[in-house]
Amino acid sequence: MIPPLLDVQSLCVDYVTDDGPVRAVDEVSLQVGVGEVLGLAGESGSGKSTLAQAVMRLLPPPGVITGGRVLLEGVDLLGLDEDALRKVRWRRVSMVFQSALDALNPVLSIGEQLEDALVAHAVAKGRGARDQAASLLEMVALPLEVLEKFPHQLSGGMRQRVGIAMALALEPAVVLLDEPTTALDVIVEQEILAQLLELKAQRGFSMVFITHDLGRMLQVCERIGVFYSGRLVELASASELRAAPRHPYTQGLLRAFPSMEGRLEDRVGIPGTAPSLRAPPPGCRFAPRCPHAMERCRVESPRLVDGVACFLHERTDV
Amino acid sequence: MSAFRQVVAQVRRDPLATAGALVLGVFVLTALVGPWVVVEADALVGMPLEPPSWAHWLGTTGQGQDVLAQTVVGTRVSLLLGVGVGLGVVAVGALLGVAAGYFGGRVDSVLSLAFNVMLVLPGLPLAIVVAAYLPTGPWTVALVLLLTGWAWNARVLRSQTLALRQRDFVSAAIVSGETHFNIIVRELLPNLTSLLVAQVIGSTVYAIGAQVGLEFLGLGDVARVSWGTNLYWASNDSAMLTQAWWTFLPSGLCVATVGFCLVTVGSAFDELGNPRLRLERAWRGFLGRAGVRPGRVTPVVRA
Repeated sequence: MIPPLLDVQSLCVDYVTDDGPVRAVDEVSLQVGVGEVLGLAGESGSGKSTLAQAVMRLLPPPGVITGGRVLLEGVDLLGLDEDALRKVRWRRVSMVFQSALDALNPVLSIGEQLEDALVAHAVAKGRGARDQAASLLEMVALPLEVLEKFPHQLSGGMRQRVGIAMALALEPAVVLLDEPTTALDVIVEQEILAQLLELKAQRGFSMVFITHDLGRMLQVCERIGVFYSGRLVELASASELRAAPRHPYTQGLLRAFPSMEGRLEDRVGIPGTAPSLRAPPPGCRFAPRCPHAMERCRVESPRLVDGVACFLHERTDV
Repeated sequence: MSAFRQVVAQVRRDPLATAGALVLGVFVLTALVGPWVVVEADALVGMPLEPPSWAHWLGTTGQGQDVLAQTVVGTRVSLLLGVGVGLGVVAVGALLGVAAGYFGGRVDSVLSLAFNVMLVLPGLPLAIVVAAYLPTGPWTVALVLLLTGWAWNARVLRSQTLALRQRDFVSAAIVSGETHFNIIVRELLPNLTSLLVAQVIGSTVYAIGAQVGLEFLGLGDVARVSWGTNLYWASNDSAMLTQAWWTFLPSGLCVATVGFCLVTVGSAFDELGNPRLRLERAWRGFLGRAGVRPGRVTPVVRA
């Protein structure tokens, strides 16, 4: 069996507070294969962005990685020092940030910023870097004059395209997309996603696509991981997830999501709110809101087995 | 949580700031009750320049006054003037700096010119010249320090205000029809709190030091007991030549200690205005206990 490109093994991430550490990502394991698009869904604070930042080792204080391994092409990123990490970052794994406006430097032209990435990693310099920057813009269907422009002169969609061009500049194996289209309108979002998939088909990189928009995710991703309160509760192919969600939380999410066809139905939300990470409920974190919660769910934490972390789906013959 | 309790909690979290605050408390207490306990600081109680003894714990001055009594009594004038000028300097700086940043245009041009002129003039020499022309006394010292000290604060607050003015909440306040006064007082100033507190502390340190300097040069009222005039008299009575260290060390140490304590308390206020720094302290502590050095990449601490 070919080892996965990105292999996250029981990763734990804590935020240190005055009252002790708070676990934001709790023993999450997932794999991304070559050329695969993995989606990470979950509400705000469920740990999906924290996971992406931890993989990049970009998590600002007070974040601390407290366990697990992150294997990228067989190398544990958690074991690398700053210098070794600098060589891997962007070259092998890059990131598209939610707000391209914040991710771009307001006083440098787009061309200069694209060239910076190429020069910093000694991929090209001078004239060559300029040409490569131009072809990167071409790749994301932006006119060449954008090279001379500054971030504030571009629209939100154009800026996000620049962000994507930048993430792909060094032809990484994996691109992490942290809510890349959340700040855009649906039409621009659609265009950008289509373009990303096309680029992926041409160049064969893998994507980890983070969003809270489950509908969009079903459309774009091959496999989807659903986060709840810092834990991965379900990991399944997009078609399986759409047709037969197994975890009650995923079922709730999908029920809350109106379908374009079919009869008009009342939307059923999930009662209650997500638990505080400071004092998570014992056992399954979803148990207090779960319509199927059993006595056992409030005591014991279900592990992710066969792509779902729920006692309802535990195989009885084991 | 009330603002006061928040401040207390913040200072208590930092051992150095706690120590600083306690020492400052002792000084404030001395300033409050000192002049009642030591009734006559000017009384000639012994021979001139007696070294420390049981009768006079810190010896006597060149005139035969008790050094301890003079140091205690001097605390009130020195602290009051220092804190008063510190507050005044920041108040004037805030008024002019925020006005310049908020109104912009011609108001800004005129006020900025004033800041820059005041910043270009060297502060202490100007203070000496002005103080030499005015009648001596604590009010003169306060006025002179106020005059020469406000410009730096104003300059910093102006640039902060310029940055804040671009933010959407200020635009929202303008659109909702709030008055200029309300926008400055309710929208802008609360966002400058941590900076203002830091400036009050910094300015107080400046005011105490500069005041002692002016008085040491004889530009204060030399008949009134304060730390500065104590040093003036020590110098006048040739303390250095006679090696009478006890005449200048107590007041000098008091000035240095108060300044140091103010700075330690000030560092705790930095965290109050910037919650991120507070979290970073907990984070550093956590990493320290695990023996991991914080760097520029997310640290890994395995249990």
